[in-house]
Amino acid sequence: MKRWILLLLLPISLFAQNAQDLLNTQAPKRLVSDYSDILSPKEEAYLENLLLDYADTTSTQIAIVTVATTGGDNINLITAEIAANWKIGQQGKDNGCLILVASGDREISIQNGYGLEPYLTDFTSKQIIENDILPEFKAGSYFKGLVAGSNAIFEVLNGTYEGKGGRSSGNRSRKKNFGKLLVLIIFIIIYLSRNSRGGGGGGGGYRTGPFWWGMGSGYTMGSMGRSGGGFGGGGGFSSGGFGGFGGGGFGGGGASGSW
Amino acid sequence: MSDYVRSLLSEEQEQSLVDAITKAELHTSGEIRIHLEKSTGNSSAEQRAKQWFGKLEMHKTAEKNGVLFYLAIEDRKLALWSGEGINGRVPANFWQEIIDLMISEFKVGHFSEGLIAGVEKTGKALGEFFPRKDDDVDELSNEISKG
Repeated sequence: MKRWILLLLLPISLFAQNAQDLLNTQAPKRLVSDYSDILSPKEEAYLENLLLDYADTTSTQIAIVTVATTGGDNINLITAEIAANWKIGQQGKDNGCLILVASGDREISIQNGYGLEPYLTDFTSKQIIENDILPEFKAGSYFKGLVAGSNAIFEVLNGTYEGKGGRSSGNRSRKKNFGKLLVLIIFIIIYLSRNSRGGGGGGGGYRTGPFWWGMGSGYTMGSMGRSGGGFGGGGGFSSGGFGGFGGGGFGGGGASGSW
Repeated sequence: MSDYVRSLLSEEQEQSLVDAITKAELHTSGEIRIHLEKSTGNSSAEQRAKQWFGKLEMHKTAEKNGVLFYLAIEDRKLALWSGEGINGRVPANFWQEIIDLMISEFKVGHFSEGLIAGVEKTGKALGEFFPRKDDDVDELSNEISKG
């Protein structure tokens, strides 16, 4: 029976093993897309329900995508671009978040829209990856890592969106206050580094870089520029399931040449 | 400091470039940035410039008038990406002319000069369409980003 399901899933997973393929595809009508097949159908359904429930109660869309490889592209950039392409998040709120796992490359990235940036900062995302997700990945469970990561993001965002009423317990509000303090500290750090020449590269602050796990030394972290490609969108929800992403992105025009 | 950057610009040249950006933005609300990178990976330079435009949050300027110069140093590629506010106002071949001007300098090894020329020309156009207002804030860093 299990084999049957795997066989049925096969054509879907073959379709997008490479993250670059997702730049030209339409957004899936679900929040969890396990293209590299690292989750069992049950695990996938659990995560889908977890994220759908969160999206329904808070309007914040968190999507998880797994692929085999980024095709050599920088994982942070391609994650932001996929999020922009799929227009994750609600129109005007820019409150989407995309977690991309490139299982073959052993890389993960969390990218979020402008609307979440004050709460889910680059620094926080990095901590979630390091403290909540990677330990589980290293222990061999993608599923547990993604559940832990999703829950950590919920906790960070809790209290900042619709539906916050009645959700916070004493424990949660302490976390919330701690989160606010953390955000304040980060703002101060960013502000200071912007004003000091030769400080953080480009004065921009850091983004979670590619993380490697299971390689003895753990992971390396590349320093990156600023975060969160502009993904806004108007995703409507229906009670039956996830209605889809939608919205704007960053337009403009360009030119190029080589020397 | 990454070697690939220093192969292109000395520390002093980098500083004078930052100064050129600051100066170019004096008369406009537009925002100019430069991003240097080793390679475009599998993407085209223009696609990459667009990605970095987003990563550097240049689409979030109030009037959508950011312009990013992107260089992939090992690939010897240059690209430019502009926000939709400014892109709709300049003539169709405007950006290509700037790129061509810069390339002609790059080809003879004048990276600093080429970049400054591109920044100045862009600043002039931005000044024309988006004159600086009294309450203008420098929305984005003028430092050169690398990654």
